[in-house]
Formats: sequence, C-alpha cells, structure tokens
Amino acid sequence: MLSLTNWKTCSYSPGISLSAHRGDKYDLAIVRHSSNPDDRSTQILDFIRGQSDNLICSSYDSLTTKLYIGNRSTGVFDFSSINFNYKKILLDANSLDVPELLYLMTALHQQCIDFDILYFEPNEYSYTDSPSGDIIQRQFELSNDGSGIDLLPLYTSLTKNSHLVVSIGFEKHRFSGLLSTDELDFDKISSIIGIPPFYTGWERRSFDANLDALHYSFNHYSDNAYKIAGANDPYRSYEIIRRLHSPHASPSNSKPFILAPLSTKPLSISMIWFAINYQGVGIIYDFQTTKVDRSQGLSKMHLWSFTSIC
Amino acid sequence: MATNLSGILNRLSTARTEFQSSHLSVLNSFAIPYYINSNNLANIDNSISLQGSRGCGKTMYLRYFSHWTQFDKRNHKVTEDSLRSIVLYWKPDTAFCRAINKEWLSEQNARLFFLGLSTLEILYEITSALDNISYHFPEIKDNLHLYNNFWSAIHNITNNEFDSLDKLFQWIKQQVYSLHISVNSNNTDNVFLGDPRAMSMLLIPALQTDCQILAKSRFKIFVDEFENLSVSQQRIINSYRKHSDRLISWNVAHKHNAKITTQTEGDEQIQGTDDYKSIILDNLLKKSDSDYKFLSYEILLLTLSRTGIEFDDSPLDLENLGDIDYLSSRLDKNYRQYVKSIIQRILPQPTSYELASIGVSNKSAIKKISHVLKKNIGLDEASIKYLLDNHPDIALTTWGIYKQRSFSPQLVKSFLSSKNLDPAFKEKINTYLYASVFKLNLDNSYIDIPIYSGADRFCTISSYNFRHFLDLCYHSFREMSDFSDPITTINDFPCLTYQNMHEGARNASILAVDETTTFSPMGQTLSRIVKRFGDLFKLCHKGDFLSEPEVNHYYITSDYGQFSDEILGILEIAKCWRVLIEYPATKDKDRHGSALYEYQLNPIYSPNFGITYRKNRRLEISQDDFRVICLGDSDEYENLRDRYKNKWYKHGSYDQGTLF
Repeated sequence: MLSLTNWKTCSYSPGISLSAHRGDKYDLAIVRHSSNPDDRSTQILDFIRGQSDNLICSSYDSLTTKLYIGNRSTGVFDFSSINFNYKKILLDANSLDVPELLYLMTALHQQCIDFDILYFEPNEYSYTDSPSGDIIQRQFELSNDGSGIDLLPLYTSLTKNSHLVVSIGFEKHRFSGLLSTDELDFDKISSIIGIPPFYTGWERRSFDANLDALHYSFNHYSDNAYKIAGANDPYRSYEIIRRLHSPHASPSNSKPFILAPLSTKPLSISMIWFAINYQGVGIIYDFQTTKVDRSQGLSKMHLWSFTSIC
Repeated sequence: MATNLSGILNRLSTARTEFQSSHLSVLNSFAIPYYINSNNLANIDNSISLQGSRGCGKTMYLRYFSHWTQFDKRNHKVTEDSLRSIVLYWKPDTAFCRAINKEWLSEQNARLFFLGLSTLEILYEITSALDNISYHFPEIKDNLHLYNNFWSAIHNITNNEFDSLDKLFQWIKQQVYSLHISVNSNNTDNVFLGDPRAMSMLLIPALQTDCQILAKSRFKIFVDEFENLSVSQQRIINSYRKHSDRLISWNVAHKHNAKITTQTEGDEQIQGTDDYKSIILDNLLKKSDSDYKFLSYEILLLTLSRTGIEFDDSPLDLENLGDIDYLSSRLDKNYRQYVKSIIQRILPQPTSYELASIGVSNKSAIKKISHVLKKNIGLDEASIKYLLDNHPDIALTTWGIYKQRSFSPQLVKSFLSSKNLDPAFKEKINTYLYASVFKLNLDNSYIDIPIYSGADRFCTISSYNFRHFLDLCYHSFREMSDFSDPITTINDFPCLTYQNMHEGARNASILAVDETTTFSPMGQTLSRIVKRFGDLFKLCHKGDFLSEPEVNHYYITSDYGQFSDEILGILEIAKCWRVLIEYPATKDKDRHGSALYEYQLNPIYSPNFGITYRKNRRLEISQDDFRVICLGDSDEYENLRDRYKNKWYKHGSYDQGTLF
C-alpha cells in the first residue's frame, strides 16, 4: 500500500529551502530533461539543484515502453532491477509527465522506497483569444499533439462498458478527445474538476473549456454530476476516486474502471497513487507534449511525502 | 401524441449520436441506402473490406446486415431464407488490444493474449447470434441438446461443461475479465488461450451438424475499426482473410484512407481483387448525388418520426425504410414527391436570385452597391433603382466584379438600354454571383445574406456525411426554439426561415471546427489546418475585387508530385478524418512541378468562416507554405498571411479568365 503521509505547503519566495521542511538535503532528485527549457522550468531546475546532492533525468518512451533513468532503460516488468541507491528521493512533478510519474512511483513502491514529490503552482497559464463565430474564446493551448490516446502498460484495462473517471482542466480538446474517439466505449463517465483552483476564478476556465463535453457527458452517460476536489489536493481527489471505485471493488461487479489524468499534476498524482493501490484499475493517457512557455511564475509550493508499506 | 419542439430537440440530440453508434440492432432506425442491391454484404462471396469516412453510415450498414438486426427479436420478417448468410459483428476493444503489444509483453505473450481475447469475443458473438436466431427458430436450442455436437465442441474449446447459452455468456465474461488482469502481470498461466479461426472452424460445422436449418448458412465475421488494431494484430486478421472460405469468411471494416497493412503473418500479402472485394461507401454515395440527397431527407424524416412525430399521410410507413422489400416503393413518384414536399416546406431553399434580392434589401448593401453603380459604372439614380428592384443579381455581381479588366461598364448600360443580357455578361453573373454574395457578407458585419440555407445546400455542405446533415438540421431547429405550438404530425412542424438555417449551419460548423482538435493523433495540427485555410480562403473572398470565383481548395506544388514524409503523414491523417477531401487534380497549371491531387477543405467548416461550400477555384500552395500552415507558429503564419494578402489585395485588377 502506498500512503500519502505528509503534505507541506508554503508560498514560493527566492531563497526558500526544502530542508526547512524536511531536514537534510535530498540524496537524489529525479526530473525530466527539457531540450527547450522556458523561464519557469529553468527556475525550478535551479531550485531543485540547490535541494539535492544528485540530479538525474528520467523519461518514458511510449514506443518502446521503456522507462529511462539517466542513460539506463528499464522495461516495466524489471523495475525491481533499478538500483536507486539513495535514501531520500525527490520527484519533480513540474517537469515529469504522467507516464514518468506513474512508473517512477510504481518502481519506488515496488522497492518499498519512500519518496517526496515537489510541485509549484504557476501564476498563470498561456492562452490565446480567438474568434469563434461571433464571440472571442479564450483558449489554453498548453500542449502539442502527441501520439494519441493509449492505455499505459501495467495499467491496461478493457474499455468496453467501462467507468471512466477523468480529471479535466483548461484544454478543451483533451476531455472532448476522449468522448469523440470511436475507440472507447464507456458506460459511465465521472469528471473531477479542480475546485478550488490555484487562483479564485480559474474554475471558470475549466467550465468554459469543457462545457460542451460535460453537457454531452451528462446527457449520454449515467453519472450526470461532476465532482470537485481542490486543484492542488491529491487527498480529496483520491477519496473521490475511492468512493467511485467502491462498487467495482466487489467481485460481482467486474466493470472496468479507468482513470484519465488530464488536468493538474496534483490531481494526476492522486490517480496514479490510486491505480498503484488498486489492482485492475486502468490508466488512459493522450500523450500530449508540453509546450514551451505554457505557464509562468512560481506560486505555492507543495511537497507530498509518500510512504510505501510492502 | 402531441409534443413540442423543445421535447423533439431533446430527443433529436440523442438521436444524432445514436446515428454514430450505441445499439447493435438498427431495426426501425435505419434507412437502407440505394446502393444496397449491388453491395449486399450478405450476398457477396468474397471476403469484404468495407470502407467509409466518419458519418457515411458504415457502421450502421454493417449492423443492418448483422444478426443483431436481421434476427432482432422484434423483427417479424425472419424466414428460413434469412439464414443463408449470418453476419457476425465484432468491434474489438481496440484501445485494449493495441495495449497488448510485444514492447512490454513478449512477442509470444502479446500474440497469445490477443488470440485469447479475440477467441472469447468472437465466441460471444457466435453465442449471441445463436441466441437471437433461436428466438425465431426455437428448435435450434432443442437440437443442440439432442445431438450435442455443438456443446461437445464448446467443451473442447473451453474445457468446461455448459448446458445453456446464458451460462456460456457468463463464463466468457469472466474469462475476458481474467484475461485483462493477467495482461498487466504478463502471466499466461491461468488465462484462456485460443485461436479464433480454429475455434470457429470447430464450432460452426458442429452447429450445422446439430441444426439442419443452418446447414446451408454461410458465416461472415466482420472486424470493425480494423485500422485501430496494431500492425501485428492486423496481420493476424489478414491471414484469416487470406484463407476465408465459403463457409466462414473474415471481413474488415475501417475508415476510408486509413493506413492499414496488407501483410499477413507469413510472407504473403493480402491483395485486393484476388483476396477481397473493397466496398467504399463514400464512392457509392458520390456516384449518385440525387440518391445521397434523397436518402439524407429520408434519414431526417425517420429521425423525426422516432421522436414521436406522426406521418399519417405518408404513402410509406417510415419504419419500412429499413426493410429491403420496400426499396422499390421508395422509388415511387408519389412517395418521393411526399418526402420532397415536406423537406421543401421545413427547409426551404432560396434561389440565387432570392439571395441577391435579400442582399440588396439591406440598407448598408444598397449604399455600397449604389455607390459603385453610380461612380464606377456611371448610372443615374433611376437606372440604379431599376437594377436593384428588378435585377438584384446583376446589380450585386456588377458590384463584385467591376474592377476586373475584362469588365466594361458598357455591359450594364447595354443591358439597361436593350433589356437583353450579353451572353458573356450572363456567364459572368452565373460565375460570380455567389462569390459576390460571400464578399458582401464578409465585407460588412451588418449584412448576413442566408447563403447557407436550404435542404439542398445542407446536403452539399455535409458532403456525404449523414451525421453532419443531421447536425445542420438539428442546429437549425434550435433556432426555432421559441416555437411552442403542440406538434402531433409532421404538418404541425414549423417551417424554418432562411435565417434560421443560416444561423443553424453556422452553429453546426463552429462545433465541427472545434471538434477537429479531438481527432487523434494530430488534432491540433488538423485544427490549425482548418482554421488557417479557413482564414486564408476568407481573406481571398474578401479581396479588394473579385478576380476569381470562390476559392476553397488548393493544390500543393512539388517536384514530380513527391512530398516529404512529414507532409505525406499530415495529408494521410487529414484525409482519414476527412478534414481535407482529396480529388485528382483537374488541371495542372503549376509552373514548377506537377500536382497529382488537390485538396478541398471539408465544406462543413465553410459557414464558420463565411466562405464558400462549393468547389470552384483552387489555390496554389508551396510545400513550404503548407508546412507553415500545418506546423508553423503564429508568427510564421502571420508572415505567410501577409504575403498572400499583398498578393491578393495589392496587385491591381486582373482578369483570371474563364473557369477551367
């Protein structure tokens, strides 16, 4: 069982140190390498460098299904062979994408290694105002095209007549993409919206972006109410998912249960955390890639401590 | 039973999506297309590759032939003859199937899991077919128990004893669930292993031995969404297709233009004509535009009838649209007249002359056109009034093309004095009237001539996509939402105004443009293609003067028709989602290289941009410019846009000559 045992949060200010929260520096920080870093990612990387004795890059290759840590690649069934070698490990949720977080958390949990996850809320996300018919629509284009919607190895699931739980954010096309694909055949869809959001008023962005998709989802799938969990609150989101999953936990109900982490990292972390703890839960992801300058500034800092009980 | 428009809209909203998928049986909700006789899936001996774009009715067509509809328990027309061909419909869980791959499982295990899953799902389909068929022929179940060959084969396949189809269903469901759990641990120890071809070759002859009534049946297994399986899984199915026989044939259905492999598991390739017959529904629909239009009207009426509206005076019960025996009745003159009269009443279509009249009735338009007629053509007030009142098409077109070099004010003056239209001038009016209407709409936000209105135009805009046709109608009906009178029969249904349809088309188009971002895996690229080409064509329509009729398609210049892999990849996906429609190049004017094809922006996107839905004049685009449109950042695109704007707006008037 993987447990979230501590959650520290504070506002970011220059000179702040994680050691003030956790004691000594980290032995190892795992980040994702960016070939084209923007101001925010550079600032976060500099900060992490100051908090850890060692820094290593990780990435997941969806074509080969290999997790890279440094130069070494590992298949998803060989995580026990990864030699983390360090006691205090920090994962950078700002740069690591959902698949990397999923497999790093899985690997660490399989080896019963505790770890922390760091996340900074941004001050703003990039947007464009584009005309749509007679009105101007604010669109958040935070990601580039990826390889398409796929289930993640180790967390695959049947999708026919499944119950989908999706966390939805500012990007209109991501939830709509799941609904409009001919491939997926959900029986029930439950959506989680990040409320309260990072900043008051941002919840409207989620609604504006997903109004049509929510309307469609309410009309065509049996769960016609959205759930709310703070955009930075993996605890609350985990609890919502647990309640939604509880009917599926009984052996008599073998309906597939699938999670789609398409919004903030804290909500994505809750989904990963849940899937690790509950066998048979699937994770579906659209593999969109992060755009440069998608967000600006560092606002609140969150440090989540996970304890693994094997 | 009386209802109101609001209730009908709610039910229509669901019906539009039902058209896409949902129920496996399409009994009473399907209008048989007119191409069925020469493309009857039940009668074709070869293995079939059924292809069609999204919204063309491919899945509905397939489900119509499947046992779900043919032996639907509500189907009262089942006879022994219906048993000649039994179509099994397998829509694999492609997202899960694709996840079963050799990259993280071994090649051997990935194959075993896929074969196990497909065996179970096809077994479920065979069992479902038996369940549906035995409702109409109850002796089947008795015979299965009496002769026991079927149950014995089931025992061989499953290693379990069953005495009812219900128990077999439950067992299959449990096995599928266990298999999905086993995949995540890559453990094949306790999982069902099988081979769908071997299973069907064992089971179906056993079934025929038990049930004489099925002795002459042929079984056709259709794999839908074939393109979404992985390449190695497609190769397995291709091997089965290659070895289809008269008793059991393996067939596939996939999107037209989808990238699929022709390889089998061995060294052989599966080859069209020899190994399978391709049926491309888009091409069949294109063969007869009038059939497409009439079928669209019938589908609309059928959809309305399913919301509870009565069609008491119809010469044909609309539920019979899904009955092949009534196909000839649908050619009956009275019936056709009946359908057309309803459509013309509900969705009336303005003529080009009417559109021009509506245009010149607008004060802003009168001011603009009068100014040109006075200043540039030299007409007096009385002549201007005469033209606007009696010949709005001439007035409007003159406003649109007066700067063309080949245009002479004398053409208008001669007409006014003789009242005879010069043939060349008449041709220009025919060619440029629509372009002038689009330009007038785009030039002034106060002018909105309803050029997208009318049932016939909806058919052109929907371009062989029935779902888009229904969307256009649905959004037009929504414009009438303040209509509160009770509706019992179709005669109570309100007649839409031109403006209702124009607005409805625009709303449907806005949603269609929005939807492009969801087209996996290049949604944002496809969205950029639509928005940027829409913007460019709009810019072209709005030009200082009309040197050309409406432009809404283009060709890409290249050396010997060779595109880079990147561009080819984008074009393939754009064609597959039908964001772009490919045509053989009509005329090669390219000075730098050859163009084999030209590409039209799907006309469903036209109302969103206020541009034409008609395929007229084409634009030349270089490979580099096409790349910028697809992948360039906003600065690169703005530079390109400025370049085209300068080209179109600042070169002074020139005559493009006549249409190709």
